[in-house]
Amino acid sequence: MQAKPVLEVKNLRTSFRTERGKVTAVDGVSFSLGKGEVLGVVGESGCGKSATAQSILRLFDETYTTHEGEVWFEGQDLLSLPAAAMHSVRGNHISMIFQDPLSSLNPVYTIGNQIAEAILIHKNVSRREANARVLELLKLTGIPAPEKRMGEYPHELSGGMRQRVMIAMALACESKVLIADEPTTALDVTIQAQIMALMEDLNEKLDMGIILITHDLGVVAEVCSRVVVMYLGQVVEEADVVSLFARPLHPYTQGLMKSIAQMDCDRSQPLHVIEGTVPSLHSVPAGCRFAPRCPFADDLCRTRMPELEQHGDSQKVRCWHAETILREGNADA
Amino acid sequence: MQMPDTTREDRPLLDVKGLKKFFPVRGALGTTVQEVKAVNDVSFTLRRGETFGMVGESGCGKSTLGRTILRLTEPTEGEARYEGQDVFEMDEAQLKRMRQDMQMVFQDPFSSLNPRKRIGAILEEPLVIHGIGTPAERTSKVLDILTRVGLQAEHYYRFPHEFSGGQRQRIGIARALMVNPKLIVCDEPVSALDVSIQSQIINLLKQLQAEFGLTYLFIAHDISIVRYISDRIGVMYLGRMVEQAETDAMFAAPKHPYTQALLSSVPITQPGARKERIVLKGEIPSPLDPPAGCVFHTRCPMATDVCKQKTPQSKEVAAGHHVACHLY
Repeated sequence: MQAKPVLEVKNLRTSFRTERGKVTAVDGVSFSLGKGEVLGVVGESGCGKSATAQSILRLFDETYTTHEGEVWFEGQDLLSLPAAAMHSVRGNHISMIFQDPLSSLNPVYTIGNQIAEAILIHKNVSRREANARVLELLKLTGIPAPEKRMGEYPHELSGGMRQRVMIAMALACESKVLIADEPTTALDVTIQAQIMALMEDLNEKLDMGIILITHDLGVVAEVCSRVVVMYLGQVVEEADVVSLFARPLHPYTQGLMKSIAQMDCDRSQPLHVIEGTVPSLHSVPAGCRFAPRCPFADDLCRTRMPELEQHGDSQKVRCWHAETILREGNADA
Repeated sequence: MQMPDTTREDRPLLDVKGLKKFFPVRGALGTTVQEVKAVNDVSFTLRRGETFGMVGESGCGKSTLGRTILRLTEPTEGEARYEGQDVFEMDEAQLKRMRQDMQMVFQDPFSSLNPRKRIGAILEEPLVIHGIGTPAERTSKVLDILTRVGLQAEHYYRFPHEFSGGQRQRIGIARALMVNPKLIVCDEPVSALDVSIQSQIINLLKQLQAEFGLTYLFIAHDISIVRYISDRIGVMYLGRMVEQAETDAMFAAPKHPYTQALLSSVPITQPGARKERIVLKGEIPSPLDPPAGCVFHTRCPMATDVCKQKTPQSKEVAAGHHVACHLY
């Protein structure tokens, strides 16, 4: 089930100029985010999941970065907007929260001031109205004693509280899309559970589309409705969450799922291992990028790059052997 | 892992009793104004050849516990008997000998290797410090250990920056193995690694344990990994050990309300099949000023008046299953 998309990423390519030559961190990524949908973007370090998110908001220094492709939001292509026009999109229509809330907050301003700033920049309201809104937001995000917290500085709050403040800030202008980049990775599990419950709650109440970037498949299974799996700058699989976990088609997705120590796994068996390591973006393999680590790889995989193709109603996969894998199940299962 | 019981002697390898580590907070005149009670009255034993998993959230004292046992930091009170001898009473020479037997693997493989030294030199250093072998013997030992941790002889002359995170953690493990230790304290050894690399390192640790008969104290916050690798598990909260049990018993029936909440908050990879999460209210209190009575009472859904006044003592509620809670 796909609602009308609020955000559509088409064939996004993000390259950086570096001392060692041009590096393409995001290579032809396409996906869409429905209204009120929670989309998970999963992958390991260097797969381009954060670079994709930052490209959507054009957060990279554009002297060193080139963007190709399109990012459609409310009838306009964000990538072709003039830089000044992006200011009214960032934090207003699309907000972002990061992994480390301490380094995203300004240490010399109070929490109240920082949230009010976002409102004062984007909305035509008085200081008093902005402050009233701040109080409302702090209550909404479940911060205890919000009147007191408003006057406090970031260092006076715990990690979980800071992330709540970031979420409050992201909600300040009633954005339609929230991009959450590893929002719970730096937090302890019991606090992660609190923040996840908060995000689900807000998603339901405010009908906000959320792109949740994470490496944690457990978090994905619990909060996302659709998932995009990335490997080395490309989308290798896209599916609704139930199909993805019931029947992962890409050998990378399969490997990832089998290699995590699940809460009910057999402790006497060795954990599944994906051989080798993620190659450097400076030396991307020819053909399928996962081929050097893939148990199914053959000559075709090593020479020609597969396209992301539809399989069944709700699944897309970038693999030459998806049909065989689908028919025969996991080769080594 | 599952070694036959005959290889274990009855006496535990390490017996920790009433361990306390308080860090003083000094005021303007250098007087101690407060104390951070990082580890408060913790007792447990390590059996030969087992993996004891220590879980808990940040600030619970699990890393301080590991460091104190190795005497990387001096304890405030308590004892830790290694092979019957109290580590905290040892003099310099005894301590040096003990450190051959007890090694440590750190969380961050990037900052725990000297960037200016070649891998060969990094790995030979423990042998030099302990005066083991001739230079030629040291080199051949390094080459042997390199292949055992899944690296190659050619890595001998490389520098740390030439390796990925997973490979660096292999080097960290190799360094710990150089002096043929009996006990390795692993402090969050895979937390900084990607999932697909985590499983490689965990498998390696298990394989080395079987090969060398190692005992691990495995400190981590990732509950599913601790469950996988540990024979027994201890749960810490605010400096206290609130529960310890055999892994299967702990997961089948966690007793302490904190353990119950902790285990229920681990996200599981089955969409839709979500069990009820016990979402704890509030945050971990500051260890500078831990709550009176049971340290968990401020967040405990079952707390009663007695919890606010009396510190619960650890009780054995089933064979090998200890809980510090007034409910039992």
